[in-house]
Amino acid sequence: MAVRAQFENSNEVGVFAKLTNSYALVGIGASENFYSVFEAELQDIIPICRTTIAGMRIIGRLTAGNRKGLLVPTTTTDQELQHLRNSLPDEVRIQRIEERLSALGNVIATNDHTALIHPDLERETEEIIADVLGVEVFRQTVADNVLVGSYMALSNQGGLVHPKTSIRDQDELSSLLQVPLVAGSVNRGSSVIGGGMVVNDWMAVTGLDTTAPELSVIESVFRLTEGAAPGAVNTSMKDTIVESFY
Amino acid sequence: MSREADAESLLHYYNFSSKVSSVQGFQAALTNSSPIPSRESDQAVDESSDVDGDFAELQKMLSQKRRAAKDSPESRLRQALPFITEFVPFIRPLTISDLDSCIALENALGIFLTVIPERANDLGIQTLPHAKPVETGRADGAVSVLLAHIVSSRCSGDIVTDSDMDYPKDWRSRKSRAAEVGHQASGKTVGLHSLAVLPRLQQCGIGQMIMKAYLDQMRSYGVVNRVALICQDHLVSYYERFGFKHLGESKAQFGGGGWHDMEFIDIVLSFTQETCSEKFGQIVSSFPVLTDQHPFHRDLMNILYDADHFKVALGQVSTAKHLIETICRDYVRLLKYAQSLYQCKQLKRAALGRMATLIKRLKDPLQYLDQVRQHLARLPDINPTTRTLLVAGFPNVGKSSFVRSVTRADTPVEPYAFFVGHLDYKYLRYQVIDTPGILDHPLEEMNTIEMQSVTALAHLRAAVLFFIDISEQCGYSLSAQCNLFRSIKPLFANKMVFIVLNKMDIKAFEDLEPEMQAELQDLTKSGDVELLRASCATQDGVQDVKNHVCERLLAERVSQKLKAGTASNGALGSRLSEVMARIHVAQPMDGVTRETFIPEAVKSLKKYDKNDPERRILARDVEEANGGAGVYNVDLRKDYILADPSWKYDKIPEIYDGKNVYDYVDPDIDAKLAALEEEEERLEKEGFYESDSDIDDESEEEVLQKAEYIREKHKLIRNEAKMRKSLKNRAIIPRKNQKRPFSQLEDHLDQLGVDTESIGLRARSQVVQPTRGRSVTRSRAGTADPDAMDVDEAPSNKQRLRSASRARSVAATNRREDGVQDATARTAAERQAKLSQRKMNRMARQGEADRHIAAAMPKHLFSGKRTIGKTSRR
Repeated sequence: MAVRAQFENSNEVGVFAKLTNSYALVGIGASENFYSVFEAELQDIIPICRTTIAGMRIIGRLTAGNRKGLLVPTTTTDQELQHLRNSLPDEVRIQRIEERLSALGNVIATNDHTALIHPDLERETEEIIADVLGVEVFRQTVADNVLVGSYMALSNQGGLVHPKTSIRDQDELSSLLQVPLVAGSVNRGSSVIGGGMVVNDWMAVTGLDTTAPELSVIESVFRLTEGAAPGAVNTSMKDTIVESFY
Repeated sequence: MSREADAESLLHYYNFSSKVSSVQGFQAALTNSSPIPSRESDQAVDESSDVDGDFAELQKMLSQKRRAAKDSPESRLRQALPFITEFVPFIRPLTISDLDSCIALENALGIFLTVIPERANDLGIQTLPHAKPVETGRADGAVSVLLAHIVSSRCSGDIVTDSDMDYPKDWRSRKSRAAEVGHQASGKTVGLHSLAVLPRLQQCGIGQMIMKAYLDQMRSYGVVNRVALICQDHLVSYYERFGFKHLGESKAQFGGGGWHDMEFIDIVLSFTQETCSEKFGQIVSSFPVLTDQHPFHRDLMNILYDADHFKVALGQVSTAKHLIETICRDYVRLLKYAQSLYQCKQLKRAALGRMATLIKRLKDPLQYLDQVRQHLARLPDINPTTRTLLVAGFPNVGKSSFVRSVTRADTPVEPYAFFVGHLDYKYLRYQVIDTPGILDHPLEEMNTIEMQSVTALAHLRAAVLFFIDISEQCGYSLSAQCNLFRSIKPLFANKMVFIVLNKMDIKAFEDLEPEMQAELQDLTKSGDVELLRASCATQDGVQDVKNHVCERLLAERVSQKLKAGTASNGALGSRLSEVMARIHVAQPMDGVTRETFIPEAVKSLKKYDKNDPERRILARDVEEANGGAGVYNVDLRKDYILADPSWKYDKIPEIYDGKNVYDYVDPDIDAKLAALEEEEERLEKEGFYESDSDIDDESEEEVLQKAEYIREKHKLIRNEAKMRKSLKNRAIIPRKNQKRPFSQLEDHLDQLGVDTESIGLRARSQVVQPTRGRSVTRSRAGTADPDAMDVDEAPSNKQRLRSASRARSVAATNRREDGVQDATARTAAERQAKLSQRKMNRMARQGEADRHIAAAMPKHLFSGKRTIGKTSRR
């Protein structure tokens, strides 16, 4: 299911949280409201860890990870790394990466099988990503944006990309990722999909401003509700989308 | 304003002003570093002048022009300040920190107000030493120099009197700010005390510049009515140029008398005018312009407020604004020609009176506009372009119950004819408009206002739901309802129309007489009309009606949009193609399904429900229970996943032995250690460490030993040399004066392999043991003849010197403690001693007697010319 939430009056949920199939990271906020949104949905299925990265709360943009591993930037402090190590299950590998583009969440979009990365990432980083996350790595752009992590949200069931992605690009990315892709938006028309939502194989959290049509697209492309399928986007929901976005 | 002004009293006045912080003044400050290139002075011949051809004429004109150029304020300014390229003065209110500069400027001529036609060059810039840096740490050290200023205070009367120029004599001691003389905080007149310009920069237009800026500022303040000043007769014409009125001789005797009163009166007029214009402009611009509105809103406003009336009211306000501006302009002009203060006052009263009349006349339009404003704020939020359902039909046919059941909205009590509710269908929001009292009687019976509301509704792109009560319980017969539909049908041209047969629970469609059925069916014949059935009482079919209508409306709108976004040749418009990209689902070619990793627990997960008493206690609840956000501190370690839960709160040092502990943390340390131990064991077993290769080569051993010895020696020599070189605080003692014990020589020779025995014996035999007085031993060892008699010899020079010095005698008592009874007395004495030394220490005196005076003015620091930039070398 998909829920709407806000982090301290900000709709950019993907900035302050990271959600994978085996763990969730949440930025340390002034109150527990945001954490409790995750807690209510996930309960004890996967561990939820409150953390900072380099003292900052924008952990969703600074880290990249999937079921098998977590990559943190070089600015992560030793204490934070230890905290993460203690909080996450032992099967999850945690790796600190020496990379100039240190907002790893912005430059890496990954699910448990494939990762798309910023074309300028270093070779070593690419190898570490393939190694730690256990994924195939492709250097790609989304709608001519190099920040692939910012402009798309990806799970093992589907993906949502920048609303201006051309049909040809969508088809190409989809054949790389082997999951269905749809161009869409979150938070009342925001194109920064990765910043506006987090998703895993069974749930998604989006910003509070996300409209009903946007949320319904998200639910069907990520198959978050019973019987939802990406095919609904160009069949039963076609009219809604044309009506609300044209 | 007197030329004999007393600089001393002036200074006091300034101090006072700064204390009560009432200096209202300006400063034209100049930054002497503007890097703007100089503007070429225009020396070209005017083209129209060479038509004549008269050479003499031309020359005369040229020379006139040159003279004018030479004498222009700009050129004078350039002469006065040769170092600037372009004059960019900065005018700002004075602050207390500018006091020094102000005083320096006034002291320059001993008076203030010196706009006398005399050239005062070569006086330099007196305010320069008091100038403050433009910005801290600026490389070129630019300073902001005061060129001119105006100082004023507020007076209670209309003209400046002696008491206004005075200051309270007890200003240092008095507590309250109110004083009978000097600055009056509630005064409506500004009395100008001084306008001062640097002598060097007079005649350059700076006085004019600052005076104009000052008057502008006073106008915009709006707290004072007029500016008044007193001046000497030769300056009357100068101030008249700014628009001051000459009011005749002043009674003021300040500084010797002989003053003339001047007054600047148009402030109050322009202030009133500006306030009115601003307010009226705001009123006019904040109302919506009817022609810019959507036709629906335009018609609605026309019905509700009468467009003509609305426009006229706004027009009146706007006209009043223009009239007030004209009055102000005219009277300010008239004021300049007034002969006396009385005349000025009369003119001012007349102008204000006319303005007031204009504003009074605006009463009705303003009241009407205020009502419109309040009503507009309560208008329903109808979006004329969005998806809309319009509900029509006779009263009591079930319109509002339908609206209520689909929108969950409450009964409308609104000041207008429409009621708006909202419903959701397919993730989209629809607005439902109920129109009680408008669409419930035939068109022929409508009055004008109702007709207009109907036409307003006709502008909406909506689906119309016409309700018919087939049970006739509403009090209208079925045929009457059909007639109403037929009568208002023309209004629904180009709209989808649905006839909803309501109250089906009471009477089914099939139970009607056949001719009635036929009549109803007949209504649907004229295209685009559909017959639907519902029962609001039992809710049967209500959702079906809603879904059907919404679906039809949506499909209709989408097809219209697609048509609008597609060119005639079938190509999609750019916006439409973007939307089309959004409804495309990119499916992977190969049809590989990626494995998902959804934990089993997800399927059996109980959905969190806020109202469930058994619900999970969330972190938020814990936080609430412990004092809420900002008070409660989260325990981040609680959820640690560790092999032993008791480790959770273990304290791990971050730094240990000066090293970062985490640099030494290795997750594989156990494995690595095990591997190392294993290898060790293996090596040991293989006999890797049982080394049998002893160095049996004797010569090699010797060589090694010697090498070791040489190395050590080298090291020692190096150390010694190093020690020698670094004479910390020691003097360099010449080699021949350096004392070396004989043993050192012996050691050295021994090391070199020289036999020193004989040398040692000889040397020791020659050493005469120095004796003082009688030998204390009986043995006489060391003398030539142990049995010889003691003979007093004349002591050698060396001996005499030695015997002369002796250990310092020690007093029997410690004079520091002598005469001091106990520890407290001693500390007191010590403190006293220290205190008496303090002054000497502070003055760097050697002792009490040191009265040395070092050079008071070191010549090298005070000789030579000291103008700008000369002293920076220090």
